[in-house]
Amino acid sequence: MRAVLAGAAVLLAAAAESATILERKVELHVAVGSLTRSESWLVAIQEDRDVERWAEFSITVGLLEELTGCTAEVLDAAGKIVHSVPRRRMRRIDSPGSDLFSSSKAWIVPFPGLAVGQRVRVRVETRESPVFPASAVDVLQTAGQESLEVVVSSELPLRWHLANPCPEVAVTATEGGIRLRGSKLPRLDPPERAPDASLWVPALHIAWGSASDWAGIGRWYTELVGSVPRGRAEVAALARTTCAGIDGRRRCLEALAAHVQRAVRYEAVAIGAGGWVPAPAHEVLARGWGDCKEKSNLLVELLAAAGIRAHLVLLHAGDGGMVERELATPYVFNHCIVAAEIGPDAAAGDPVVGGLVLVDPTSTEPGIVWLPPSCQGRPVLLVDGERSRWLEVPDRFELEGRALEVRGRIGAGGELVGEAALEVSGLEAALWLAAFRSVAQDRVAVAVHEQFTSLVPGASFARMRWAALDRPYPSAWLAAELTLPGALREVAGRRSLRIGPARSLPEARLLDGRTVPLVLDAGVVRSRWVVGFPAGACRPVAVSARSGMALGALEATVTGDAEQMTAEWVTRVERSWAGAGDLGELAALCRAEGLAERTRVRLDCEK
Amino acid sequence: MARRSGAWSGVIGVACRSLATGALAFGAASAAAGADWPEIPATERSLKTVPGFPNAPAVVLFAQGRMVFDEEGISSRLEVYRRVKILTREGTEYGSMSLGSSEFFRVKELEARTHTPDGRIVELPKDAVFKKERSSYYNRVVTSFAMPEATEGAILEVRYTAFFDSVIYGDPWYFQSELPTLHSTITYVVPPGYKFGHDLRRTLRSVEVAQESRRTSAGTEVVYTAANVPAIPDEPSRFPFEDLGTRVIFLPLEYNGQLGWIGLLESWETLINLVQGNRDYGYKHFRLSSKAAAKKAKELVAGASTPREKACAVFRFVRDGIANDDASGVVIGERTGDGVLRAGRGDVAEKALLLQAMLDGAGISSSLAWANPLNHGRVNPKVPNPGQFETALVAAEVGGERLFLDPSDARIGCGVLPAELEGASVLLVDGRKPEWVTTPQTPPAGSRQDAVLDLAVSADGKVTGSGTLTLTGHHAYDRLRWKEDKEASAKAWTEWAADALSGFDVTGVEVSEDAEARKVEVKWVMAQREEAVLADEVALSAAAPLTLAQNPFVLPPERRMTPVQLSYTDVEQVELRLRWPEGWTPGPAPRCTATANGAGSLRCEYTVEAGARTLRATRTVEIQRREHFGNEYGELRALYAATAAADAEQVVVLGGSGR
Repeated sequence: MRAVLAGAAVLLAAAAESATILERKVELHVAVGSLTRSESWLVAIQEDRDVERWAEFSITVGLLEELTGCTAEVLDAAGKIVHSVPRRRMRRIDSPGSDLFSSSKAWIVPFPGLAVGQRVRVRVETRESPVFPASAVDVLQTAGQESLEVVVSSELPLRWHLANPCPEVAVTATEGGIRLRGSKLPRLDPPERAPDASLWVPALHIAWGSASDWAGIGRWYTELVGSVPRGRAEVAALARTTCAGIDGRRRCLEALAAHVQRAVRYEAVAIGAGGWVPAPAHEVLARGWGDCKEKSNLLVELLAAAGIRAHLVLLHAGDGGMVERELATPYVFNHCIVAAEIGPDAAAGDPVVGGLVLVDPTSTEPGIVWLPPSCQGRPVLLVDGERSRWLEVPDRFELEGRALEVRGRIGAGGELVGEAALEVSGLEAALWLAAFRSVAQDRVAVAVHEQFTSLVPGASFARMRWAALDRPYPSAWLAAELTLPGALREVAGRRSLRIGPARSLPEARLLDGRTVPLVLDAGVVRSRWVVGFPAGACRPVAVSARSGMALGALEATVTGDAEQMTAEWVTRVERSWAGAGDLGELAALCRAEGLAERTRVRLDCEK
Repeated sequence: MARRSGAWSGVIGVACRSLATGALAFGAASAAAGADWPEIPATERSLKTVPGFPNAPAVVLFAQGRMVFDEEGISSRLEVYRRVKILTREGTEYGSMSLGSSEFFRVKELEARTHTPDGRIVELPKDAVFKKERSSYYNRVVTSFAMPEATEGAILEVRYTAFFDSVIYGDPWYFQSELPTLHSTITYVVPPGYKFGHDLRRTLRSVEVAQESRRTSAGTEVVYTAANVPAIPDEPSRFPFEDLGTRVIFLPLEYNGQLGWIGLLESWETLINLVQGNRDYGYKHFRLSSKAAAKKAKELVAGASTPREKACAVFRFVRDGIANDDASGVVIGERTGDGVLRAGRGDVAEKALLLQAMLDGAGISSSLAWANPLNHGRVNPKVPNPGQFETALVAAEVGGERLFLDPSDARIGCGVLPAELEGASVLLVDGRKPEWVTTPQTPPAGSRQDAVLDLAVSADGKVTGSGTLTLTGHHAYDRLRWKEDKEASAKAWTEWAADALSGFDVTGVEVSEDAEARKVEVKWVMAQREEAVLADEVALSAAAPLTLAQNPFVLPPERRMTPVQLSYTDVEQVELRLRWPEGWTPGPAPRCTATANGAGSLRCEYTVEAGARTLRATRTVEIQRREHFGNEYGELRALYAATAAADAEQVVVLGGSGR
């Protein structure tokens, strides 16, 4: 489960998209303990659908911000004000988003009666006392920008970094600040399987204050969390009773993690600095709910009470888990997990990084062997005071994936009749296990049917079955009886079988001309068909092929004789992220899988 | 699911509106704040699973409502109590809840507590209750709260009281929900001097609702009770919850005033009379102050030559020029036509009334039409209840025909209705007598998807060509102004075509849209990608780009519990034209089981002209019925199964010697 650690800085975005932003200006002023921000847009309404799209403009203000001013006007083509939208017509929405509650707010600014040729001008002013002295400005918007100017003035020494720079943008230093200018900026237009925008879209990051490196961020968060009351007896008592009679630190860790994963449900309430500061562990324990940092802090405290040293770990849990590391700021993180020091007690297969076992207390499946993919394949910041440091979490692809096995026999009419079974593990299995527990059996049967239909198009299925598999990581088994009409085809004297691999890679077309990194599903996908032939059938044409590279590999083998054949395809994707430098290699792998998917297993009837 | 609480302020004549009250449509039980909580039976404490629902994540143990109508219509109240047990890990999601409130339906006295599996009782702390303003318009607020220790095996108790200033409460009491319910009961306390009637609907034969009346010091109490109520199953394309849930509505028919019995919801006439109001409230009040609106209408139609052009000019102004407020329902507040015009915003009823007033100013007669989208439940014409209607249309008399106008949706053209308002029973409320009419419904042939692929195989086995997709009717509506601008639409269509035509590069996409004619046409050029070229074999999906990958109706008829409601009827056709070079051989016709039944039909054609080295394959599916009950589901299922099977087939052409 992904959990949001905190809201980022100011978020100002159009509810609608399109049109062209003729001018956008952002002014930030940094002072001791405060950040004021002013942002204005001048938008040209250019076509009919712009009228609809810009009928409402949404302004979202973060947890610690206060909206100090907002003006909204409609102008004619000559720039004359046609009408202004009074503040009373702006609709406030508390706590937008999916959190149970947050102190962020949205204002909806209505622009009824817009017409093509008119312009919309919005100016928003906010003030905040940031929980950490940093902020950011997203360069791109959901509409193209003719001109962008960002002016940052500061009464304090300022650090800055332009992440993911692009040729349309230039930053210059000014007296006491910086200025960013951009022109002819394209709209934000993420391609399929793009990682979070923060990882590839230009953004100006600024920071001030004394925490100037990542160790400083770790110290800052250590102190912030250190201010939270701790050491309460009820937490210690729970740790004691949970680990009583349990032998070894690993099993104690496992038991305490399972308690937090099962008995404390995920629920996010972020009010002001509460987006970053967890509620005290004893409160979270008493109420039985909390967000990622609260569940993690509780687990750290429980472990401490059990004599196991543990730390909070900050990471970005979005698609593609890289973070911009040039400028140290906590706003790159959105998730919090736990690293426990259990030393040699760790078992083979545990997610050990830097000698620490990583545990995600928000995971829906209790246990410590399985780390959700959202925490894998990325750098994470261990929060440990002066010893805070980056850790690199590898992708644990071997625990993610699926294995399809079809066993059957070709009938007189060319149909394949048999049994299909699918074993899934990791995240996909976790979803199945939740369904097994809490979804009506008819619905599960339908879902199993749909799963097999997507793997073997054209087949009909009956007698759907499913079960959880007893493994230390989420694993599930699905099965059904299968009939695939026309599995054996003959055209112009040539025979072939209508079987093939389950896809696991994206279509190669997504790599054409691509420069934006691509998110992958790390894991192993296996398809195995064991097919018996009727008398007089032909032998399969043997295949043995392998395409391997750093990102992963594809293997295909076909063996057998006139009575039975076995075809197997295995795709291993070892990383959840393909950076710009990997795209060429990935394209080759995707093409290989695409070709394998379309190539039929042919039968040789000449021998 | 959107629910309305049709609370009206005042005994009669007083207007309020139906406002969505949020997701927590549960009920509650009396017990004012501080009162004792009900005893929890030992059987509930030991309950692990619900018979018949082994996977239920949670169960409603007890839902109780007590509706006390205030004789003066000033302070009626609904007391709600609900007790839920969490049965699985996923059931813990029921530990967080939300309640909607407004100035017309004021939720107060919220209390809740958890019985933990080890027998402790934990009260809901005040700091776990959060109020979120959703709109200052009628003070719409959502109260969210997180129950403490809501783990597997926990029992959650919640109670609150909602106050409203009326004797009319148009929302039903639902005995059913998405969870199984062991016991659900609602008590209506009827004040003296009123006659009430009920609308009780049982949707499943297995659900029995007992009714009992008794005299008390507070008046007459009418109690409805149901036990062991099954959950409403989550089935694809099922009717909306509002149509499926067993429920009761209790409505005041008459009250005994100083001049004798006065009709309230006794009939549609009396109801409409209340809503129309007088100089001080209601529709009449709204219309009395609409002079500026009428003047504006005259300006708008100055250049229009026909009545239809005039009507559409006014319609577009209201649709696009007046922002939508999110309150629904047909009862209005105290605004006027000119007030809404001045404010530049209004809810569905206010926008419809403004449109009507402006049409009047333009010399076009019309009636307001109360309506409810079919995906939010069907209207029962036998029960005069304004709470049944979520929206208001305008039925304009234009050039001898009746034009239904819906000014609440920017994508809806003049005289066009969205699919969910087509074929719906609507009530015209401005004539001498209320008149029920059915809105027009687009026939299947009026909503088409037609795809044509014109392809050729080269000597080296690569396939290239072009494609077109033409959408009309509701299919077009779904994709008109699909994206924010033309460039983005073209990009989205390119991605759509590339996804639907796996193995091909799709380029040169051109999109043309005609909103008034409800037509979208997409053209593209396509070329097989390197990794899809097999040199001596071409195998093309028989129904791409409109392949039905999954039959959504795989559940056997004997297991299907709910009727099917499709969005609309339609026709979908794919035509593949393929040419190949000399020396290649076409395969047999793709398997296709022609099907024709009450649900619709599937037809396939496959013709090969060997001399010309061309083939033509078509697949046509027509859905003729939108709603499918009982055995009709089997027909729909068979049609979809045949279509999915046919769509999994391939058109094959082999070349070279191969093996």
